[in-house]
Amino acid sequence: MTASRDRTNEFQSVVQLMRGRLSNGAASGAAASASEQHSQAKARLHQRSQFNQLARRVGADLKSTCAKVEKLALLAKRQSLFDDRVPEIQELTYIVRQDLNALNQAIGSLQEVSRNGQSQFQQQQQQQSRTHSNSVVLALQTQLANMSDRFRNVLETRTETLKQNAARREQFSATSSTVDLLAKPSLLAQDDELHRTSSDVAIDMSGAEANWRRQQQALLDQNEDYLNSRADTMRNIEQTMVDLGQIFQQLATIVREQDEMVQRIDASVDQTTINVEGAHAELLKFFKTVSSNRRLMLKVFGVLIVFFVLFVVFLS
Amino acid sequence: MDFTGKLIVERSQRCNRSKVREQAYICHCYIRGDYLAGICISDDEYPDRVAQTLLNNILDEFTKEYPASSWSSLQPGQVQFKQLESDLARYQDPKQADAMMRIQSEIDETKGILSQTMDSLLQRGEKLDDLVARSDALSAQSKAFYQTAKKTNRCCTLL
Repeated sequence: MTASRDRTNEFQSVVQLMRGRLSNGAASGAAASASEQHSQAKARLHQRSQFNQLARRVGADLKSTCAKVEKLALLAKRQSLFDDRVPEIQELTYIVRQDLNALNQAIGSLQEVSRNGQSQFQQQQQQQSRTHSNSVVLALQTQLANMSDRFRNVLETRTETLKQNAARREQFSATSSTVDLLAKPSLLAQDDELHRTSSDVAIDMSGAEANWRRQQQALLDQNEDYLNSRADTMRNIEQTMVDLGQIFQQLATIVREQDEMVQRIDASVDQTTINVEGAHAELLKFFKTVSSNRRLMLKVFGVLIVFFVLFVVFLS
Repeated sequence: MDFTGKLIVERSQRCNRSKVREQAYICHCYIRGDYLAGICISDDEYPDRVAQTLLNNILDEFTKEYPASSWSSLQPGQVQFKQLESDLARYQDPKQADAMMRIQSEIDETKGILSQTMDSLLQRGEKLDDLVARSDALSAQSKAFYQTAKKTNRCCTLL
């Protein structure tokens, strides 16, 4: 019989590891082992894997929300007078806000988990893992703070573009539409407050506040109908004016072409006048020649006399 | 009418514009951020936008005349607001009162006039074409006439 090594302990630790990975959050793992150290180690692993998974999830959510904020920034920058994508932007804003809330809550719970997990165990052995979890939570919080800062900037750029649009609309119409700016800055001011407080510490957002903000969103949409109709009318007017401009342009081109034709006509008629004048003069000369030339008369009579003489000579 | 107005204002929310159908009329309602509300009752065909613009203007003028601090001390029925009547008289015809609709109608008129102008311009072009051809022919014939006259004058020496 060969010497056998007792690897029970290793086997049991491996089993605990696998069990801890499989049944995360389930309390069934605690019942399997008897020894205090094993249960402690298992619970520790259990807590650690839970913490890690939660942190991973929070990181993934953070990344997706970051992508949404970037898209929102792009949309807000591209706002022009004709290309309004207001419902999309509002939807996106709403979604991003929800995500930020959820992330806040998740990071808060993460902190709780890490703090609770640590309090049960021997402090000395957990020093490194505690600092590790603390740094993980801190990193997630800073990322969340950066993203909420970017979100706030995007909202500010959006108000800027809206103000510019309103100013351009005022140039075209006499009525001043100052009302539409009142509601938006108030919503943004609230956003600013919220994000400023949330960027330092992960706070717990109450459900009532989120509801109230959702209501504000709905009110803003109703206001948007009136503003949208105004915007549509203004767009029509602008389009008509552009059409009018084009018509005028074509008018000018046609008139210019006709100007050339008129000049041709003018030249022809002048030429005709000259020709007719010349011919008239010639005729006058001819008439003068015919009517008052003595030479001619002499010639005519001479011819007559010659014929007469010939006639007489032939007869005699 | 008063009762309906009060009911609608109580049911509506702040910073909100709404439109309620009441038998044969439509009641436009607008509640501003500082809780000042305006109601405009009109028939079916009055454009919504113009009604809301009217409410905007009237609320602004009202605020100018009676600042917000004096609202709690005003008694209903005692408030004199002369501009209301003149505004109402003006807004009877939405096409004239609302700047945007006025501009729209004027622009449409201008467009019609411009298309007429284009037509007459094209006719003018045709006539000018005709004139060009005829004046060319005239010039050629007068030239021939001149040549003939010259020739006639020259050969008088024959005879």
